[in-house]
Amino acid sequence: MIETRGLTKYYGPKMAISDVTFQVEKGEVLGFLGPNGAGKTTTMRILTCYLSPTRGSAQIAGFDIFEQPLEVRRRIGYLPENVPLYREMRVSRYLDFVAEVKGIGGRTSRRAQVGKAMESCGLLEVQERILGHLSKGYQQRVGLAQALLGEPAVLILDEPTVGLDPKQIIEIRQLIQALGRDRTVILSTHILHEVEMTCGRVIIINEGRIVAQDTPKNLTRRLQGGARVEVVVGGDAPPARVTKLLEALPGTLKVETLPPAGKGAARFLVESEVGRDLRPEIAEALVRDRVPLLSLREQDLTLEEIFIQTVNADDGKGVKAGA
Amino acid sequence: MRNLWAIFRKELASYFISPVAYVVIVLFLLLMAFFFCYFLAVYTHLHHQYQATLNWYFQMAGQNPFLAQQMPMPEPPNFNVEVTRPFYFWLSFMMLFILPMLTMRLFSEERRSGTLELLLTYPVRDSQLVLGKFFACLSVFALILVLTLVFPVFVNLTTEKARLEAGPLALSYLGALGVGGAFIAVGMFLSTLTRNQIIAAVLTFGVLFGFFFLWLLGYSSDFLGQFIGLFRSKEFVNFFKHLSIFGHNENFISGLLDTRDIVYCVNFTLASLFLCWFSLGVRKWRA
Repeated sequence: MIETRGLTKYYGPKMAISDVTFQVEKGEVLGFLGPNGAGKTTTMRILTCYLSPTRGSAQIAGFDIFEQPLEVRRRIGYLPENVPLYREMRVSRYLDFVAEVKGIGGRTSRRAQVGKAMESCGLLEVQERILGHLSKGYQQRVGLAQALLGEPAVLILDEPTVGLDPKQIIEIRQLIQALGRDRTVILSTHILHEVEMTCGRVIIINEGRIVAQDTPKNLTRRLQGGARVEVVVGGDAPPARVTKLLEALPGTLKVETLPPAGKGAARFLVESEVGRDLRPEIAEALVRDRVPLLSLREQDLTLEEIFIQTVNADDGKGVKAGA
Repeated sequence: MRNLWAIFRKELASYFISPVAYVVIVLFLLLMAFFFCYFLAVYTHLHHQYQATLNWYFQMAGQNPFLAQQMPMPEPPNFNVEVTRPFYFWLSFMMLFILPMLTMRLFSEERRSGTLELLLTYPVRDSQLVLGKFFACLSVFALILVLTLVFPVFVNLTTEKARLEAGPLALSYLGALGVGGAFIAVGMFLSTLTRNQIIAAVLTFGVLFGFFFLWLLGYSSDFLGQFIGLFRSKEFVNFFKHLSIFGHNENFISGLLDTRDIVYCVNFTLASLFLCWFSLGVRKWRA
């Protein structure tokens, strides 16, 4: 559905993105993940034909962004960052305007589509309100509704949950998930949790370059290396003894002492070889030595950690390449 | 075409949602009312003088017919020259101040609020966007011009003595609309250059005043010629007069319909609209 090849954009001497190549299949929800200023917005602006890349090309639904920008724009719904709206207009009038600009002909069919978009975004009860008076959450929904008009096959959403309160974030995410069922969606964010929840595939982008792309699950698995188990023991067992005990187990790679969970509750992190679950052995060893075992928990790398790891690894490379 | 119409309607409506259009209309009509009253008062005064002179002439003629034959009959003041022309000249002068207020927000506000980004990712050609906005602004200006018809209509309805003739009147309005269109296109182009409405308005005013100044140079050539030899050359002066849009407006107001003036206004407008369109497209490549 979306295909980019070697997208590169310079703002003067400053490189915004470099050699961004990816594909998105029909019906996929792709997360664009990266710190602020990584080039997410630039990439999206190129896909929406707002900016032209310095090098490279992109196609959306088979139409080239250079050759047929109007055809491309007909097939995308775009929600820019910060949701720019005409603050003095009323919701229904605004959506009607957007529908007309998008070339939806006939008053009746336009009204029907606007009604549908308002319904799916939960805007029916505010349709006569003035946009500038709406809460941020509702403005975000209006932004989504305008993107939906014209029934685009592709939705491009730039940080759709920024500045919302937790309840609104959950509502918007659910909305995006629902919309993603029969559309191709690209959404950018710097919140990892969001990607885990809504996206089938993630592209991590840092300093203008793609540093990783995979499903959230695969990314976790690939980067994790080994399994990790968090152990909490009670009583007054001296930490040094427990560490020694854990290190003696076959398959242990490293034991780390973590800050205690509470009074008389020492915490340790045991890393083991890939694909090996040490929990039974740990439990057995501790019980045998009469160390009171309080809890035993397998730990997954969170996307946060993956993200920091990839970005850091990438930074290291960048420094080397620069030097 | 539908997109253009949509943009046109939205822009037109947004003039009247915000107080801009009302403020501009009221301000302009007040100023024009002032000028109209002033020129009417001057005309009335001249007419009184004329009647006094006429009375004196007949008296003298009764006493000394031979002397009267030597002297020309006093002429009545010409309403066209005393009221219509200066009124429409000042109307076009006041456009310098009024039109920047109408054009300043057209693009700069969209840039500031970010709505331009969204607008430019809809399936709309940049040219449709430019034309839609241009015609919306021109319509508001045309409405203002229609409202100024109140003055000539008032004169024609209330007195038999003076009359605004339809022909020169129509030409004056044609000139105002042509010149106004060119000014609007300039203002629109300049508003694509900045996010700040005030800067857009001041820039527009500056450029328009520059064109007025060119005309002023040509107009005051007799005076300037005393000091600068260049201004004694007719070609040099004509160059300024032709370059400035005001020189062309002058012809419309004095009741001359010259294709050169029409072509000038249309070209001026098209060139400015092209610059505006170009300026929008530059964003794609701007580094």
